[in-house]
Amino acid sequence: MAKRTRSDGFRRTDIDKFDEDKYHDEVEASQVDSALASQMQKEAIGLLNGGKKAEALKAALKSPPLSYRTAQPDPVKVEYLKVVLDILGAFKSTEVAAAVKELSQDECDLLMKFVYRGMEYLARPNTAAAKAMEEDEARRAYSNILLTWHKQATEHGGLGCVVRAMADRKTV
Amino acid sequence: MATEFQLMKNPVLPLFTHAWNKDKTQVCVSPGDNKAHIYSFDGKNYKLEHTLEDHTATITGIDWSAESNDIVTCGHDRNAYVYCWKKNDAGVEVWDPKLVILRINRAATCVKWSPNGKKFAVGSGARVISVCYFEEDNDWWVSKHIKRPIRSTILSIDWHPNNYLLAAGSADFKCRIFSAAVKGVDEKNKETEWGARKKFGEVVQEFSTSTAGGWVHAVSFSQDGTKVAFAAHDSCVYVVDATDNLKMHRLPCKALPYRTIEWVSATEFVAAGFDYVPALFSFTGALQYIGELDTRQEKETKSTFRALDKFRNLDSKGTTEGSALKTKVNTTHQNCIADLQIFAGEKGNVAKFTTVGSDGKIVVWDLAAAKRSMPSSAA
Repeated sequence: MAKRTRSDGFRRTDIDKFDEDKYHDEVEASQVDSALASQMQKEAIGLLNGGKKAEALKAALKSPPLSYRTAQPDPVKVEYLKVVLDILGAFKSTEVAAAVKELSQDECDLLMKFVYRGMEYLARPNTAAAKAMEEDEARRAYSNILLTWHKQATEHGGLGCVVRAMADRKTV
Repeated sequence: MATEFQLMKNPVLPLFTHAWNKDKTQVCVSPGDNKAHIYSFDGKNYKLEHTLEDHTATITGIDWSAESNDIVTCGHDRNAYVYCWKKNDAGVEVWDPKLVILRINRAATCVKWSPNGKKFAVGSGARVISVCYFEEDNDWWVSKHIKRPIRSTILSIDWHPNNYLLAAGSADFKCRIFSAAVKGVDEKNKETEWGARKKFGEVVQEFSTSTAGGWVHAVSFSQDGTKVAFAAHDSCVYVVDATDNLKMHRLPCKALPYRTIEWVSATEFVAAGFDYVPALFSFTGALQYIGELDTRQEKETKSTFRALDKFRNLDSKGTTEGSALKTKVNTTHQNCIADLQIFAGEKGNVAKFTTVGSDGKIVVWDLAAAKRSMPSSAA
């Protein structure tokens, strides 16, 4: 009889690596526009500091950096995510529903992507993306409000919104 | 408005695909294994007539040609079979199988007869579409491959009414229209509304789901072939209008993604899938969601053994609450819908259609009645 081992390392082996028919994303299209991102970032921070939370959210969702997921997280995207987390965290849980209602379907989809990305960023210290976590204790408090955002975004955009956030190859 | 039949029971088995004969008196289904069953249907009852047992692995696609009355099936065993209803050596009429070698190294996923029944196309995981036609001289189905530029599994195919254009939805997030004109089988192909005349296997048009998130589950040409609708896993439906500069319209939906799509009139199409209910959409220059075709009526779960259920529930679920007893959802289908076929009328003028799903049910939908009882029809 085969001996049962407790090792589960094989589950993490990337067997797809050996598949010559493996699907590859179109890499050339994955570059993010860092100039545009930093410009939008500044605009959003300005609005947030001016107390205009809803406008800051709209500005941040206007044209965020989107690209295919890479092994090393794009620093432009990480910086942008931090700004969005600051905006989302600035809302009180009672204000979230009203803010989400103002969003279009596409903006709602983007919001959902940021919510999921934010949860990953705040929760999983074993990913490279969350390595920055060490010095990011300050944002940890946002985890709670992200759940409220998720609930409201699901109500506004439906389950389709969740599927789009999860299935999209281009992440925020 | 919706009549349901529990086709697969004892045990309940999922249905992934079904196909009707021309006069809708027989239906061919496969319950997710290597057998295809042909049932006769008189409007009230289903009766098992024949079982086709030639595949050695799960059957993934079935299509029944209205023109030639031939059935084609394809499956995980990388083969396709064409069944002809004819007399065998003993003089008895049987479904006579003919093996079609598709020359693929991955499972076949879907199959569709061309409208004239002379060719069929098989999509597969081998990033290839096999277009098959019959060679009289060799008494043999020949397959020709469409390879480029497919980069992933083909999930859905549909033929243009002209018999030489083929739309294919693929897991590489694209919907493509290919030229599939075979010399000697088709009349000479011409320039169409979709673009210039192309050789066999060349791409005529390529459409990308606008975010890179949707493998294309379902694709359907409109009746006149000037529009193509497709549904993708980003929970969006798309329509491309060839008469309007190939403009692509995208509609993000609130529901879960759709797995099957069909035009029911010149301006309306139905999509169904992971959300258990078929939804109606209209396209008149702009794409619009009309509503669900299921009224989602709460079903009463009749139970004669209340006390027994109570204790059983206490045992299995740790609660005596009545709501926990409910094992049904309020939709006609109790699980994902996998396939949709026309039951009365024809493409572009559908009166009734049928859906099958993972719950093993086959549901007949009366479109006019369903539209009348649509919750949003008052609006």
